[in-house]
Amino acid sequence: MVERKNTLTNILKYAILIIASLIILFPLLWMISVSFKTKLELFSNPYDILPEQINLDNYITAWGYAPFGSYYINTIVISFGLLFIQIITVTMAAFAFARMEFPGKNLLFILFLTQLMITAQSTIYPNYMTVSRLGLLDTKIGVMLPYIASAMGTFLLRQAFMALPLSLEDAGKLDGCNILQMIVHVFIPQVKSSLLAFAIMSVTNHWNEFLWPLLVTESDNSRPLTVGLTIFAQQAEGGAEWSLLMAATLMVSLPLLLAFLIFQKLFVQAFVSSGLKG
Amino acid sequence: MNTRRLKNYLIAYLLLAPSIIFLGVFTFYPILYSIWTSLFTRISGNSLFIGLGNYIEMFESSEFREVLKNNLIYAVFSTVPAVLFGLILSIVLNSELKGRGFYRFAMFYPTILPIATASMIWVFLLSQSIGFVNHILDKIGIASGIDWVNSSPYAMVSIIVVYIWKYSGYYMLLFLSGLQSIDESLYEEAYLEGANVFTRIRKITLPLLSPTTFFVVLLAIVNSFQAVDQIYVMTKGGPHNSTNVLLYYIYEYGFVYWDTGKASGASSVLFLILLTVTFFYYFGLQKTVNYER
Repeated sequence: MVERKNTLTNILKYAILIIASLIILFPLLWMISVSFKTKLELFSNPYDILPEQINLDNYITAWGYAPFGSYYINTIVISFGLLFIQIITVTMAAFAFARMEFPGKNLLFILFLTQLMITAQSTIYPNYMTVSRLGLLDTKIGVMLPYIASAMGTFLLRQAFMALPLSLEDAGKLDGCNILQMIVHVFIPQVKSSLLAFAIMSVTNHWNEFLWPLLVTESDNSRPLTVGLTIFAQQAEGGAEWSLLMAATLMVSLPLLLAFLIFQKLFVQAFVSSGLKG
Repeated sequence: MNTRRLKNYLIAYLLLAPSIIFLGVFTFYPILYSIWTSLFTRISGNSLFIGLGNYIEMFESSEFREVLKNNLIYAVFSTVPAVLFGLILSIVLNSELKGRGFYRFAMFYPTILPIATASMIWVFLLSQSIGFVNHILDKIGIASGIDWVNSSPYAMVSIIVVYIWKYSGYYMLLFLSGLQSIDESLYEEAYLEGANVFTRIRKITLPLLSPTTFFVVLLAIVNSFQAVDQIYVMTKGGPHNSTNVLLYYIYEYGFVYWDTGKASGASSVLFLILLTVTFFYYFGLQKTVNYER
């Protein structure tokens, strides 16, 4: 900015940023702090910012209270399994849209676009019926099905493929590759950063998803963390076990929070690029 | 070389096939299914064609009208402040400042938290007896003992607060990437001509940022119609329907009352709203083809 030495403006800027940051950050800090408090501590001094000591009892109790271990595994299987399938469907579709000509291309592209707005969230009811008719209720596959085709991923990769030089196809042909080999060996290595952005978006979205898995899953064999946590909360809330609940909540959010803390720039890039392109 | 061309078409379709099959089954079939079944009602196990009967019944019922009104209130009062905060924060952050990484983390982390989980923290923060929000309000003498999530209109305020908290930082980052594409020399010029900060924002930043603003606003509106997790966790649509929005209504009629006709009718209304927004989105996309972030 031009105003290099305008101290007043700078003070104002820092004040706005610091106040806004602290307000937005507060729920996270409060959750962490309360998760270390004992029940007694919470009720005698409910507004102390810091806990008397770092006490991990709530974590141990919460972990034993509900099968968080299987919830973790389910969430990991659902979000990463889905990502694996999506990378296949998305790369294939994106390649066709970016590097090939065929009749009906524009119409098909518009059909893909529609999925960006008509998200699976708004089609829960008919999709539930479909999954039920397929006999896949209460399975991890059932949770993944509506997301196997991803318009957002197709878009991100299409854009990346389109930016690559035409000579790549020739290189692939010279090597005698068929089209799948060409995609895997020649094109995918060139679009790693877009794939990574998509992976971050997809895993975050499905790690966090709630309503759809809540409806589709019925047992701890398929329930993901978010659903398991609310069931746990419904049991714990009756006794207002807030410190226990905050510990459980933090356990659920911790992996993504840590990943975000470490790979902040990648997360931000992923969310910004997918946000503006659709 | 006609066969070769046909072969290429075939390969393209085969590459698209998996995506198209799944889009068909889980995106397009649901839309058509919802519209079709919204024209029927179930009477003792049999489907009976009633035309627009479900819609007439819905729009005549005060419950559904309230749901639409709630959703509208929610959309306006969450979108406007979240976009505005995002815009202001991005303008402030778009300069050489210390600790940008910290601000970015502090403001963006809610985006990557599950809403269901985040809502749990907020239920606690907003708790009537030991919630921190009431504690602060009490301390500065504004109000005391508000039963946030269980009384009207505070329940609506609560879910709006969660939206603003969750999305302001995200919108800030979207604006920030728009701001970074604005040519720095424009500001230098305006500065030399004696324009102050506010004039520069009004004459340079806002006009050049308008494509970004357009997309952020549409995204924010769509997000406000997809909100259901925080409602499920925080208020269950209550009290007295005061936080019941379209998607929650669909959930209730579909999965609590098992009323196919109403759930499908409400889904169709939601599709109509989302498709209208989509239409504007494409329209905007056409108008700003030369715009790249």
